[in-house]
Amino acid sequence: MPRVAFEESPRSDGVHLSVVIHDIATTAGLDNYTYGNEKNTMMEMGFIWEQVLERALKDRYAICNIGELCVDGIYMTPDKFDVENWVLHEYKCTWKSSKNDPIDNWRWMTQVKGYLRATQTRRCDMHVLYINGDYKGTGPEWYRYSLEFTDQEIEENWTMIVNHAKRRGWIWQ
Amino acid sequence: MSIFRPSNFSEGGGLLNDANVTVKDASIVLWDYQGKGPLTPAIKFVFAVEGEDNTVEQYWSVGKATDWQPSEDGKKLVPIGKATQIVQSSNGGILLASIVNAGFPEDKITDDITCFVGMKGHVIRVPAPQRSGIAKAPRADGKSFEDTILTFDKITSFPGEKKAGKTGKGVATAKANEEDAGDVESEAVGVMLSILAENPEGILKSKLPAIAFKAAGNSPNKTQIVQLLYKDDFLSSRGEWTYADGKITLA
Repeated sequence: MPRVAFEESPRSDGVHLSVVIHDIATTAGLDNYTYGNEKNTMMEMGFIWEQVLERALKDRYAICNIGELCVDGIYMTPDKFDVENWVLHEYKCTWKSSKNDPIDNWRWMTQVKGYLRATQTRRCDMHVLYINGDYKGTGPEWYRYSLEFTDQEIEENWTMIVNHAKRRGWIWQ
Repeated sequence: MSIFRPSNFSEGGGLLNDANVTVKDASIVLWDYQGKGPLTPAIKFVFAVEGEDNTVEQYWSVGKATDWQPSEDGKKLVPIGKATQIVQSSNGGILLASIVNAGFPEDKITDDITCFVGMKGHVIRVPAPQRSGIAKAPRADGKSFEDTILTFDKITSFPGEKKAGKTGKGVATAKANEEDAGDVESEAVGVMLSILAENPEGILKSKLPAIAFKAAGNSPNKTQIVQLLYKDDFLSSRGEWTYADGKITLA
């Protein structure tokens, strides 16, 4: 079976935001998610979703790649960025039910607030493709959530991330 | 494309002076030079002048009545003759050019002259250009005055902008904003040139935001710099580089 050409943005050596978030989540027992063999498939689905959305949105927004960013020694690669309106665009592809509110997804929100800290904005448009919709026969569903956080929320989130990375000895400041 | 935009001009103008004003009304009218001349199509601004109780009307001719007439609602200039562009050296042309030079975005100028209503700025008189073939009738009192045109040398607030406090504070804030805008532009040029120095073969605009975001470092103007460097108008307006086919290269 032909596999989808999969490209990842270049990643610098060093600690990445996703690693810190995963470590916090598992250490604190927020969830027990572990990456298994399905990781590549899920990532490829996410990549396809990103490509589809990029094509769909490019005429509506000045969407571009902002590339890999590094703040306080922690690297991250936001999906897309609307330069004109200074809004982060984050794409998610999930098998979770669409009845869930993304605001309650700790990993997503922690990641998004980290990206907002790095891109110096408070707004994020999160495009979520629910592969199985609400699991009650809706089929796939796509929602766009416009999120806005306060400076305090973003700063507190970042402090948590930096402190955890320091405790782990991943960064020194 | 608006005929009021200076880039669309063809090649070819009780005195209010040195004052802070607000454009309260703007229209296109036929003006007779206060009874001293033929009916001429002109831009009319009604100014509220800082420190004055009454409004002041000002007129700037834009050409001949055989070429232009006001629209019925007085908001537009309607071509009726051969002319399709405002003459650059007409009083109206000089006024509009001064507004743009003072910072009014040309792409915000529409065919509706009321697009200037609400604009605040400082006006000052400048000498009118020498116009061949126009004989000036001597004044009855024998006095002679140099012809001048009222122009804007500063825009402190654009139409629709929120007031930034009381007048004095507002002007100060606007001045600070003006200086900030100049800083951002010069900083953006510096960032762009540093990027081009690293990429002598040129750089695609699509790649620019990510590189500019990093190149801007910890500048407090980072957001504005990246946004400015993403604007086609800005990229096309600079002489330090050329921008064509989505690619920027050193000039």
